[in-house]
Amino acid sequence: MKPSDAPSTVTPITSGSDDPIFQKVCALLGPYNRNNVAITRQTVIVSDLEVDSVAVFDLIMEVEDSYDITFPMETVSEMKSVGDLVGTIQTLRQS
Amino acid sequence: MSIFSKYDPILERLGRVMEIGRNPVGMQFDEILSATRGIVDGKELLLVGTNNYLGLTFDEACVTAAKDAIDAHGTGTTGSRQANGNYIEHVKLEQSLSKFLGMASTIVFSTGYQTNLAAISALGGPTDQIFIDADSHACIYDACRLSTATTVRFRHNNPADLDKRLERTEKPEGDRLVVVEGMYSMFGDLAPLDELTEVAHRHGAMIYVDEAHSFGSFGPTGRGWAEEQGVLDQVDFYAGTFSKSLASIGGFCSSKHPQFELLRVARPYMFTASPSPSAIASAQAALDRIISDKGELHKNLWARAEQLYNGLAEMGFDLAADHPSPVIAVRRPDEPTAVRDWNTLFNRGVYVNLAVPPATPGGVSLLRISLSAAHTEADIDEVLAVFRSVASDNAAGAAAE
Repeated sequence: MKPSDAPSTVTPITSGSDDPIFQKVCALLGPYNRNNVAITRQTVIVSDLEVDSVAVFDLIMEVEDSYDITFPMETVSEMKSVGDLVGTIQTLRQS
Repeated sequence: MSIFSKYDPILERLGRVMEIGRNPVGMQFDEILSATRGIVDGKELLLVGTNNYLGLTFDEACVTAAKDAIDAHGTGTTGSRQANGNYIEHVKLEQSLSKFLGMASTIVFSTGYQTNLAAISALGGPTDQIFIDADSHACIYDACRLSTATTVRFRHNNPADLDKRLERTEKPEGDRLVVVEGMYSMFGDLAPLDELTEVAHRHGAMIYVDEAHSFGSFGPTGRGWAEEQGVLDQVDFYAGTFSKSLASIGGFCSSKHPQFELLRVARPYMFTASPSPSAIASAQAALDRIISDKGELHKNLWARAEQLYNGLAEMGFDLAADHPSPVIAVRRPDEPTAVRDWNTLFNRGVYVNLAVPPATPGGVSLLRISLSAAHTEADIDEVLAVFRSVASDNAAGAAAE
């Protein structure tokens, strides 16, 4: 099974793990990852890590401060996976 | 699978709660005897979880005003003010609130929730930015979702963090609005309104203060936490509710900007029924009590808050706020402990609120107490005695393990 065909459950793959933004996001997710799930770009933040909606917003504040960017709340609901979050950070840093 | 399947996790969680005891979110009071007493399943409870801060739900003047309004104008308005017209009660209450707060305009809404939903969503247009405190009530979050503005969250009660985010975020084509609360409903902690107002205005932002839990119970004359902080005249928008200190149902938003009247086009104002004459009349009577009382009414509330806060602190309970206030929240180590303690308190005759994530900040589980000016010293002694017994039982249980 290719990674892209994988179900939404977590797979212990760390593809793209050399990306510093991905690494930073993994570090920021640490305190929220109570079950020590192996984080990949496909990891769905809310369901796979069992992070509630308030905690997601708290995580976003950490991301904002780490990269000195503003992350409008309305964009948060569009981000499902760790890969989505990494991509949004890249976009906001370039804008 | 069904359309309801998405709620299975909530159902499972409620099932675990029900294994411990009663359903804390489905309580049925068969009788409400007074501002501080109610009956459930034939058992009389001391109520310390009702937000009835001034204890006016059975006040003779408020009850008489409500009854008179029904006799004079009927039980309901049967529609919105835009369509069915304004009742004299609505207009007079708006004028009274504007005068009391020194504001140019006031709009009355059907609930406190709808007040923030309407005012904030209508203020925030597509070219505007709204900055909200991270611990804002759900209605403020929902208002931001309903608005077309860009919304940014700042750290709770942290003027420096607000300053940083206002600085960091590129200035919009439109305007900026900072939204905060006076007293926060879960922990009972207070906003540094003087500093937050200064930061907001320095960045060219207007400030919106929700005083739902602080109107009537704070300030030398009951005008809320903004009055106590000395910034009432600097607040651009001041929101409140009738369902707490004013012992009714409904809400209001006042502004020093006369153009606020334009917000009567807000969808949660236009497309819902206006408050009933009796609800407005009792809120007016309660407001009149606050105005004529000149701060006397909430003196006992504060005496009871200090009595309870100090008593619980002496017993070693982990209290969420570092000062007494009409809301006192006791942190419990986890949800099952909070549920178990809530049931023990109930079974021993004390009704508090169980507050658990995501309704609480930081994912904590709380026994939330709200006090009333109608509570007596003996009432609080009773609450403290029951909490002492809970602590004793928990210590004995821990020792047995």
